[in-house]
Amino acid sequence: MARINTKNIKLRSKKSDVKITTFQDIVFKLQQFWAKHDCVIFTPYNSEVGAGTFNPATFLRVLDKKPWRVCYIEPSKRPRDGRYAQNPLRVQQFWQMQVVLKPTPHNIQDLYLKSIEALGISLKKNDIRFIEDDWESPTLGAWGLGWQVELNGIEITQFTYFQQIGGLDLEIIPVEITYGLERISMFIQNRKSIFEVQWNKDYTWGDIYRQNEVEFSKYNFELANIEFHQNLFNKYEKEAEHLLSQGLVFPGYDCVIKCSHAFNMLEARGAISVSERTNYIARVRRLARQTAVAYIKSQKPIQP
Amino acid sequence: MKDLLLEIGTEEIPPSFLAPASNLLEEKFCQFLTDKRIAFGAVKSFYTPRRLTILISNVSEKQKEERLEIQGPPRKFAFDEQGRPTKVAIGFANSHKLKASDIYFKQTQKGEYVFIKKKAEIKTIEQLLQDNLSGLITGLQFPKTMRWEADKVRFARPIRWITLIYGTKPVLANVAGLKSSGFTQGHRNNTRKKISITNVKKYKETLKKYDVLVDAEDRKTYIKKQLHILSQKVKGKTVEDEELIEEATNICEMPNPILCEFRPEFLNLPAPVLITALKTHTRSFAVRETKTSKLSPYFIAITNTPKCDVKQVRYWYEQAVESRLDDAKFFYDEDVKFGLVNRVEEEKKVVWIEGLGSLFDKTARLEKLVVVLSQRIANVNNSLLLKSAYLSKADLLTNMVREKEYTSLQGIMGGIYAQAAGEHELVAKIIAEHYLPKSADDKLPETPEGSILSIADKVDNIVGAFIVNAVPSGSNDPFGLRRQAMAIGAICLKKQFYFNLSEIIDLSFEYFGVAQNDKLLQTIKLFFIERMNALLLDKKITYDTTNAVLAISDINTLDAYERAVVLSEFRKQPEFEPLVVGQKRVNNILKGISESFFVREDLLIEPNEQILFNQAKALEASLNYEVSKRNYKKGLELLLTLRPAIDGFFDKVLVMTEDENYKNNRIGLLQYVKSLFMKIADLSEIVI
Repeated sequence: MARINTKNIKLRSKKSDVKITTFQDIVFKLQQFWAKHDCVIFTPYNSEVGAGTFNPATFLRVLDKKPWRVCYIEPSKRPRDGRYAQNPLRVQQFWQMQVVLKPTPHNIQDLYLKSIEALGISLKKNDIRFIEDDWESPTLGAWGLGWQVELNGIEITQFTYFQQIGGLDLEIIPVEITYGLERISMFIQNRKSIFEVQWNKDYTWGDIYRQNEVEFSKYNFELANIEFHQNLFNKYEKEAEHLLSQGLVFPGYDCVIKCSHAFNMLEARGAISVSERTNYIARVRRLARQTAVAYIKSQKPIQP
Repeated sequence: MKDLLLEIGTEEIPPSFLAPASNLLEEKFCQFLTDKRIAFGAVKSFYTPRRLTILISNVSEKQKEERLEIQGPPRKFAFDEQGRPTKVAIGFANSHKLKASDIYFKQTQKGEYVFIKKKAEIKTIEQLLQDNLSGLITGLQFPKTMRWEADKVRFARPIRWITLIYGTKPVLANVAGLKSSGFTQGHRNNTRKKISITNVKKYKETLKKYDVLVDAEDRKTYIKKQLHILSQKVKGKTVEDEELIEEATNICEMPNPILCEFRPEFLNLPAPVLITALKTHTRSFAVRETKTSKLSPYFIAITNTPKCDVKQVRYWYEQAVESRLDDAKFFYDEDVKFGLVNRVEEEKKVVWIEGLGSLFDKTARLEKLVVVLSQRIANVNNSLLLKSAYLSKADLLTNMVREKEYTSLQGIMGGIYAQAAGEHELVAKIIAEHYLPKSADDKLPETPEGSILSIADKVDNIVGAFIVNAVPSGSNDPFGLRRQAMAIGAICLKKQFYFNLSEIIDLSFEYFGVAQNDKLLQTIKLFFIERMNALLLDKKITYDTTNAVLAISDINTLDAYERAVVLSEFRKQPEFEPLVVGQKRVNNILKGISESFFVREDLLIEPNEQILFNQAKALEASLNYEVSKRNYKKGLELLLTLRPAIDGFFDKVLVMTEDENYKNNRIGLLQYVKSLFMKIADLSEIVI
């Protein structure tokens, strides 16, 4: 049987034939696009998070009734996903581009598609579609309805209308758009491995992160001290409760994030049984809820 | 009389929601028109992920005339003794813009009242739509809904436009914060322009110009045709999957199937893995070689972009699929290397149901259950059955089945891994089929051993769920316990398994090692009997025959079914009815008597009671024999011979006589006769 010829296909637009669109170009272009649409261009959080949703710029800001538009990159740490840099598609830390718009503009899907076009991806030549995928974070007590966006069968974005955060119903519904930057780069640059993605003209993703991946995989799976992380979890849990009870939302939430990461580390180390897992998740969720409640309380206008 | 078009434009609604929502919209909309006295002609409904449409021909322009009868105050206040209208009557008439002379009287339950007939206000279809459309649309139900604005409106996904046209003109109505118009939108990737619908009759054709096949049937037909053409190009046939066709149809506005290819080395993966990987990751169809029926290294992706760059799209679909198959191959190789039997030990670490121990504990219970079941069923390979039970849950711990995408392959993977580990072919088969049937119309296990393991697994699931109080209520049955109980019955019928499930339930409960709880056991058994009842009704046994056999049967589906079939046939005989009447009389007399009495022959003084006793006594042995041989027809025939004696007894003998001894002895006689009938069925349940 003849194999269908897939070689020698022009996979890039004319421009990028001359100059490749690098990983950092993609970041810039998305930031420029969303800056034009009134987003605050923000920074990643200064602590380990599993997803951009944990950043207070999302988790806390979506809770109040004030309009908010933000765009930031976030390194997502998933200790369990490390593969010692041996798997071309799985890494324990990857990059998300997070966009949150509150309230949601009516033409949000169209805006999103324009951002994809801004990256030089043609909507007419490629098969882009919105496939049902409801998002849920049990630890954050958060869920929403939406889609994963697929580009020629490859998932490139999670698109969610938040309904509940910290167990609380949201009055103003925000949309969260999370671009998978490595996936988009691999498509634009026609790469089969995350490690081969061109970060700028001189460095690949692998040049920058390979050693990091190998060492963190070893740490997450083999060397992380279990007792130490159990201690961390318990102590941060106590600290979070104390701070939140004093009305200190941001420092309190910071401890919740640390708890969540300690839990992820313990899970990667295989130190948590199935029944314990449910219990740990419930503990983080309880803190997330306390945080949400404390934040909303702190937003009440202060009487002069 | 003009045509009416309503299109609800949305963001992509989940595929499984579409058809039910479309039906509901049609139903509600037609109900609305009928309620509002608007005549209408033919109705057509369409849907795509981005629109729910209803197109109705010959809709009348306004409501049909109607005179409404309105009740006023009581006559005694409205008219004086001379019969003249009071202020009350005049006020009532005026409030409806009528005169007191229009009033008439009518008797009601509360006395005599005044009434008036008034022409109902006539509204135009436009007015009615303006007043009601929003409520009608936002009242549609979906399995899951969301909010997207600050208001309380809920829908499956955000509504983004409403197209509403009557005849040739758009109708303006407010729906969920939007204003309706005469415009619609085309395919998302085709154009961002608004499209004006100028001719409602040409709705389908207009949308097609903008790359939308709005009729799901058209999309499905096209997909099927292309699947055929494309797979023939590589001398193959698409692996049939109605569910997948349905899904593919409903995630597209304009399907564009593309033939793709993967590296032939992946054909070393088990076929179910390949087919599932293609289906769950990219909703693509696997292709078989027509000649050999083996899978070929091709697949067909159903894209939604009609004029896309096919080469580029194909390349990336192939990348997506191959990376998933790489994962699958990794899982498969690792699992085979590790070995299925080594997973059994790992089951100890996995909680089965919170509070009911580990998966390993479940496996141990299954091993005990299959042993007691196989003692009751002939021609079973016990050692291989036991081995299968031991390995049956091990695949839940494999890399493959633990992945969300492949959990549907539980059992099937177990069978494949068992075979890879060199287990007997029958073991692989038993493991593979022990989850069957997975749905009400799924196939049943083929081997007797697979059937037994399937029953054991389901009994254990049901008893366990009841112990932790995860019981079905109303339409809520998250573990599908009802379906599983029905499946047990269906398997028993198909495999001709004859045993009393009641004993198995007792043992199953015991194996959980929780405190004895007779009340709970009773509840569990009642649950099974209810399901047996439902199963017999499914088999077209009438409800009273079902009641008659279930009143006396153990939890033995095959036995109940055999009795029911015989009884259903027997009912056609003319002698049957008097027999039932006799049983009903016996029951009426015995009602409320809890004590049992033994018949003393010396107290049988009336000839007719002697006859009944002697005849009954005479046939008891043969009756027992026939029942033991499950010859229920012969048994019923024997009982039928008692009829004259029973009739004679009731004609001539007074049961409730003054003398306690005679009375109790006659009650004892009737109890004895009843006990004979109850060996076959409780005929008093039969409705005549």
